[in-house]
Amino acid sequence: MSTAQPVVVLENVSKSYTRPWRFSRRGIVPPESVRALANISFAIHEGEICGLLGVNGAGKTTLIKILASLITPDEGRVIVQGIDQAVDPAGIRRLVGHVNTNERSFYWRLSGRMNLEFFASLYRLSGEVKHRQVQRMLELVDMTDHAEKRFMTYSTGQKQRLAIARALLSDPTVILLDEPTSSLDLISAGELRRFIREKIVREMGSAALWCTHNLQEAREVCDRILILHRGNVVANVSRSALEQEVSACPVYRFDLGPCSEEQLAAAGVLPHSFRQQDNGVEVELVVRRQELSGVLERLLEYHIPIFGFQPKEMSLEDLFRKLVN
Amino acid sequence: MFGTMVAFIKRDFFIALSYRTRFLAQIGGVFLSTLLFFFMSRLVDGGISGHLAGYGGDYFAFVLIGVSFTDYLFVSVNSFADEIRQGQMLGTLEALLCSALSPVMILFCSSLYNFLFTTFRVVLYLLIGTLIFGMQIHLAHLGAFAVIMVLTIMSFWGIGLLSAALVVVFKQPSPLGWLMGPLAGLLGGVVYPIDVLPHWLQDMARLLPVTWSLDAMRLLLLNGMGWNNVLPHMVVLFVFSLVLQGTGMVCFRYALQVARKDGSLLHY
Repeated sequence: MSTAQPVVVLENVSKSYTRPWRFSRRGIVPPESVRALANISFAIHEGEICGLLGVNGAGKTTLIKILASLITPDEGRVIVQGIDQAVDPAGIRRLVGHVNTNERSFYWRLSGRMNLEFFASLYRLSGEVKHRQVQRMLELVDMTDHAEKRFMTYSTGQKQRLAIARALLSDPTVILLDEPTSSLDLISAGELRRFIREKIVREMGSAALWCTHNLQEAREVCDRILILHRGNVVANVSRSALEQEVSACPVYRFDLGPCSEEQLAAAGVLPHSFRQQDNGVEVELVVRRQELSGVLERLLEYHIPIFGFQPKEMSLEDLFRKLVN
Repeated sequence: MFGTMVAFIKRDFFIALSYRTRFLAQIGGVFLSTLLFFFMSRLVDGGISGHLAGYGGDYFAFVLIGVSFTDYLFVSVNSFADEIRQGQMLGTLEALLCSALSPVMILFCSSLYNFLFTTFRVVLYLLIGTLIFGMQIHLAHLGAFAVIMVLTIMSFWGIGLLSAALVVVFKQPSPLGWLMGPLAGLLGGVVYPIDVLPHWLQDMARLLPVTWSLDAMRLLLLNGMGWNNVLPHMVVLFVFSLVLQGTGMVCFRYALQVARKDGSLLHY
């Protein structure tokens, strides 16, 4: 656990949505409540990048929108730098920079600089202070040479950089990043990750909540990782703890001869994926290294042919299965 | 605060300027409309001259004041609702609402350019009317005119806030926008004096702020009347602005609260 002060504290935050009544084949379905977040509690510390990991529908975006004051939680408290969101939501918005990577959230017919100057005015920056801050942000995201071009002419990477510059205009204490690399190619995504880690967090000292469904990305960039599953935090671990977990329990992909899931279960092998192939089955297992030989022995004992096996990079799905099971 | 207001005006001005053809067409449209009213007035002048006695007797001047100032009503009703609706559709609303500015201020500031442009159009209407078509206007009581304008805009903003609240809740273009146009045209005294209407419709017409506003402006600009003659209008418009602003503010804030609660603020 970091010794730095917590800048964001969430206490028992819950959120449900009401699905309105609708018609189905069976008739009228009455309104029902769908729980998006259940008693979420965690803290983000100064200078820390906290990864929020989860598959689609896990509740990541709801959590980000609650922190950005766009959605009100049903229960619980959100506190940023000691300010309670329920008491002073505008005060919270000044401290939180939301990196909205939706390219439509800019004015396409205005230049990058004009866009930033407009958004800076929403934080009551004006005159020379505003111009200096906009220039500083353009330099920070390396967009000075393109500042006078219309937003519509920017590449996807440049649009993302401008979105980051916009989120930093108010010198926020915490930055919210909702899948910022989702529309970038591998090289640009890597550059953006490095840029945020080195320039934004290390140099400016801001904290960041980085929302992603890419386990590799979270391992590369985050200091701590929260895993959300169906609105619950199923893990809240440091990067090193997660690395240990991942390396201690690698995933192995086995190509086996024809067999059923029941036969595997009888052999004490419980795969988390099972796929029929033309000449056998392909299964994936999460096993500790020291248990691997035991698994091989049991498969042979139960006369299940082994054509081959190899370790595989653990995916988010594998990690979930492991944690949830 | 002033800097924020200027930033919104700059944003909308440069976006409007980037669509040059539309920008120029809007200005050209003012001249064509004035020409249309001029020829229309030659057709109807004799027929309704009795009804126009209280407004200087010139139908061209009557209709020009009616049509040009009614633009303020349309701008008020539509600007707020359009900012929300376009923001929802384009995706800019999320970025605006994440800022430190309150949603009511965002709406207020986003309507400023439209108000300025409407004022420019109104001045253009009056200039073309007076310089080219010989319309007579009295500018002796500009103070009273300014008070009427402020109260008019305050009342219309109330309707605009109600309109924006409906967009936040129903995620559709505001029905108030569709309703206010025909209603103002029919009952507001825009193109004919309301005393041509049956008595029961005249009573309904007096429930609209636009009726009082246009009547006061015509008395000031066309008849050269002063403070005393438009004092009742000022009182009525003041009540309208209090009631409509209050109702609009409460409804808009409630709509935002509901949308934040059910997570539909950015849906469209």
